[in-house]
Amino acid sequence: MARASLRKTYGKALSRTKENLVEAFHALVEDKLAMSGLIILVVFVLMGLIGPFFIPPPTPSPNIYAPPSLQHPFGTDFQGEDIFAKIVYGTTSMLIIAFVTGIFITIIAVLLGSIAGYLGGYVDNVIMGFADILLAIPQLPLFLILAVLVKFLDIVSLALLISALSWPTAARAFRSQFLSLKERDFVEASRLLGFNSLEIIVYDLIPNILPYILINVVLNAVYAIYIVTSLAYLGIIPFESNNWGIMLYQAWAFGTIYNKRTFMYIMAPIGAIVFLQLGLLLFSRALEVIFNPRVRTGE
Amino acid sequence: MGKELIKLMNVYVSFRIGGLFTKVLVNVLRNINLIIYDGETLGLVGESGCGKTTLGKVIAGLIKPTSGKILYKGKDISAMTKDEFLTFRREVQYLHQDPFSSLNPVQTVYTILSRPLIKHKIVDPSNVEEEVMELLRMVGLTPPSDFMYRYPHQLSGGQRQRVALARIMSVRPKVLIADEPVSMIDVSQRIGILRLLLDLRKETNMTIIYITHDLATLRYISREGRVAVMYLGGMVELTDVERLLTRPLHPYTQILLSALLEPDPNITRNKKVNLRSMDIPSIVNLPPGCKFHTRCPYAINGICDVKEPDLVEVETNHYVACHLVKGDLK
Repeated sequence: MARASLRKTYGKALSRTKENLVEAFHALVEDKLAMSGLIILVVFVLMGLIGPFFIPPPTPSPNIYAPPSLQHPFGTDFQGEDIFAKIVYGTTSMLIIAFVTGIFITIIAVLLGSIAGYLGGYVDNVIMGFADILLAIPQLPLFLILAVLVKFLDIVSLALLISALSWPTAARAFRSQFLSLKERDFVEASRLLGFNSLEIIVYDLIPNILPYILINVVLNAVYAIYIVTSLAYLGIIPFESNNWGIMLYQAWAFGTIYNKRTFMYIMAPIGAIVFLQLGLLLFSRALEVIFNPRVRTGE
Repeated sequence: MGKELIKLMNVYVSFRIGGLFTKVLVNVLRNINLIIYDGETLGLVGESGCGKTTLGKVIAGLIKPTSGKILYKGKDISAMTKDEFLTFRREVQYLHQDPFSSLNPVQTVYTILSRPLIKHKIVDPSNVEEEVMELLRMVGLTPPSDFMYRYPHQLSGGQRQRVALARIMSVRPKVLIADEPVSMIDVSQRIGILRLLLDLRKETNMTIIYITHDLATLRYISREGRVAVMYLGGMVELTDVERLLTRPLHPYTQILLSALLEPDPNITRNKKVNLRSMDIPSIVNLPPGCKFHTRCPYAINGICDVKEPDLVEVETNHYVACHLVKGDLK
């Protein structure tokens, strides 16, 4: 009996979810920019996931500084390695670092921002005071100094370090969202119905800023790519030879920018970074389309 | 009249406003004593800023009084156990003025109505859907299947207010505090909402506290009920609606009634509001003595501007806070 009723309730919920998904898909197809962002991102994810199975790893060869050809679409670098293969092999770690950092920054920011915004008072002052201190320190020099003190061993620990230092901006944004949302009458109505603070934060407030949270994941991923590329360019991430930032540095250091034949050597990593960023930014639009009922139902 | 349900004893509410160094204490409610009986309809009327919304929220337990006590069924709500307070919360509900802000924009009508049902286990989980339909039918949103999976932004103001009412009815309240429930709604839909409130009252026999500045809708809602007139955070007159409309005793109430529109525009046009000053005193800087003496046409120097009158029963069930009325009947 109980199981039957449960199945009935869940069945209803599932059919609603399905309907919502169909609605979201239709809205997505209509928004060309959002759709192209999704496509760019899917191409990069496929490149990172299954690219290494099809494209042989870059190996040194005597054919150095080769111009673009069918065999080497972007030419070869100073040790004769295929640049296209290097870009493909660099994608996986770039995607991992972008999304791990994006997700971690957002989790920390939502947790601290919601607590500070909803509770206010003393808790708010402490959290935001700490955020202000972190915000006041310039990020890149800080990483330069940290690179001397700590050894960056792998991409996940690097992502965690970036997250631990970069949450304040997002936390401030979430806090202000919570500050304005908690004054709305429906929060008071929920309180009157006997819901406690945790239930109100989880069921009333967070769903209201869900599109905003997901967009923040993407924007923070964009930020992470900038930071990682910059650090690699400056030579602080020693464990990655196929990193786009390192490729950029090598292309620059070997003067390829002054030669027409090796033009693609420097343009390939720049193009990869620009396209991935563009894909992510347009994809954040798609998230808005999917998760905001107002946009989704077209009103 | 039923038995005492809610009793307010010497309730004061004050807020601190202003910056770090220029904080001022504002007395929003002063010395409110009020008994609300089971099943009655009580109107709270007054100008904007007189504290009627604050009083409603104090009764609902949303604002804690600075001093004084609120008894619900004889128990002080600040001294209740967690379970008792949760019961009080459920039984005393508040209908917000603005239906555009009182519904969560990302939840469907079904989610809005089913959450309290599931939380308080009001119906068996298998019957939640039927109960939601029943609630929608109860508030006149028919057929329910048309409204169940809509989002608030797809509903009109009147429909939203009905959903807000349905959400309140889902927890089976004993007291409903309605804070100007029709002021933000299209004029054409107002009468529907008021009629619905009356129907729900008749069906469930709940107590309604109707907060308004509009005496016409008040009369519609509580023909047999009582009404309390508020001025600058204090209560100036408390009596039956009919008596208030036909025989107002406090000068403020008399002037409030004379401001009502007449069907004949000539009468309205030639009406004079008999006030010494049109400006309502600032609530931050209250005048001494009777708070109305700065505007009252009958104020006597030396009495009205010195001592604040108490709310006294001048006739059976007719309480007035005015020196002159007391003197008149002595």
